Amino acid sequence: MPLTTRRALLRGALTAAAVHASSTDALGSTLLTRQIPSTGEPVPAVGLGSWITFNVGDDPLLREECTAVMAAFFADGGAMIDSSPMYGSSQAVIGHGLARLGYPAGLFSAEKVWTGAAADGPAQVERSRRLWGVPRLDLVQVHNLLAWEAHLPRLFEMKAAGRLRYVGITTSEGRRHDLFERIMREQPLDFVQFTYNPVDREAEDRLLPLARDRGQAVIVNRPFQQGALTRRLQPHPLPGWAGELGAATWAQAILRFILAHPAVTVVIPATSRADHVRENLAAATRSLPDEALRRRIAADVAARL
Amino acid sequence: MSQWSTYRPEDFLLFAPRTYWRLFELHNEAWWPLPLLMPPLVLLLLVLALRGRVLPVLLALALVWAFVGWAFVSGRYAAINWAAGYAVPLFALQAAGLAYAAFRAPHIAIGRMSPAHWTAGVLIIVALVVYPLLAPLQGRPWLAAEIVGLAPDPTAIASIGLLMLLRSPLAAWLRVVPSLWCMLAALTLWTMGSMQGWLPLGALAIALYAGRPTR
Repeated sequence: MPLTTRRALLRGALTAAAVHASSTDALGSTLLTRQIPSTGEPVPAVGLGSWITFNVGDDPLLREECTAVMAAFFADGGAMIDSSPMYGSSQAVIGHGLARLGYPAGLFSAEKVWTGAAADGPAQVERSRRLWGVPRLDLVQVHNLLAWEAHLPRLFEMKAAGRLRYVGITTSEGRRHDLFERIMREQPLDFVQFTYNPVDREAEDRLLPLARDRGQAVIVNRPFQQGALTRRLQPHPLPGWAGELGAATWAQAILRFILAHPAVTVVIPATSRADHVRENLAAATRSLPDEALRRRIAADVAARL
Repeated sequence: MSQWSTYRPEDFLLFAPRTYWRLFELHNEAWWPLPLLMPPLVLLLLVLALRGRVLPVLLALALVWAFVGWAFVSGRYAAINWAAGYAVPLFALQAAGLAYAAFRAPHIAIGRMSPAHWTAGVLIIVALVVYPLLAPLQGRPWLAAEIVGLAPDPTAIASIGLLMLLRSPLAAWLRVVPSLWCMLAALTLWTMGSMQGWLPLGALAIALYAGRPTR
């Protein structure tokens, strides 16, 4: 498809998205928000990851598609976009999309510092900020605990100086939970990020309860195991509880399972499809499964893998 | 560190396969009509090599490696795969090595017809003919074809083939970087779940077999 046609389509999508946004506003947005414990600031409970999906380099066509994903995300009330210097060109692609969309006011920028050379940390954060094209990053997390002892004091200094608003740490797929837990106990973190879904439930034992005790906001990554979970569940029809849960797809069921945990603040699925962004955001409503239904969801998901 | 055991190969893949395949489409578009000119050029190099004209072959290969390293690996691929950025010096090293070998060309002979010649021929045909067909055969547009002299994988495979025709320890050393690239390409394609990874892997096996110490 020629680029001009794509552009026209994108423009159409942006207009439709804008109309959609205003209609939800008129009805009163139903998108679930959660408070960041350290400040009480509300943040929409479904964010947007950028691992792999937004690493499209200079490809004009794929950049347009990413912009359309971001447009749908903001139009339906989304706010938090999460990225990292490790994600190839994702930061530049986010910056491109934000510029195209006129820097939506709701944006909550979640970035990471990812370098073993501690002294490079502040320069890397500054480079990330420029790539996003925003005056200030909202959250900077130490990626996979890499050189965390050196980075955290610098990040707290930058926060004190008003150069960023929140500090956090990340891990994924259950790695280094012992160390992660120790840092959660010892450091005044605003945010922690780790993997949690109906299959990967290690976080329920210690990290999630500890985050609640310590007043740390929780970002959940890899809710669909990078798509593997939803792919494997897709051939199976949704069980009877889907109606009760208000879930039209497995993806929505998984997101609602995650969001129902009281310690979870934001879940950040990544996608390269605008329709999936809308589906993900639509999963974040106030009526969430109770503990009994959550147990059934986890059991039913496990039984189908 | 024990945590490394928890990583799977696909955890190191930074990009979607579609993004990777589209690189070739954009590259061919950007360098049009080079995609039409490069295969005949490499065919000409084969003819020259068989006729014992070593100097133009090595010089042209040096330029091709410099070009692929600069235009594709650094200029395009590194944007979606920062690890590819580390391979750029390898391409520069290979270009320099080939240029140096070109100066030594009077001392480099073409080997007598042997099974190695036939193996080299197979590698060059794979790079010249099979590679451009892979895109359309796998449902990607013709414009996304991987062309020798533009895309790194067929370039490395054709280079191994051409260098196998030369009888010189230097030519054997010059197969090291193309072999390394074949290994990286096979790993990348494997993590992408693409069967295409067998081609560079096969080329690597042939390069290693041809490079085995004899007598």
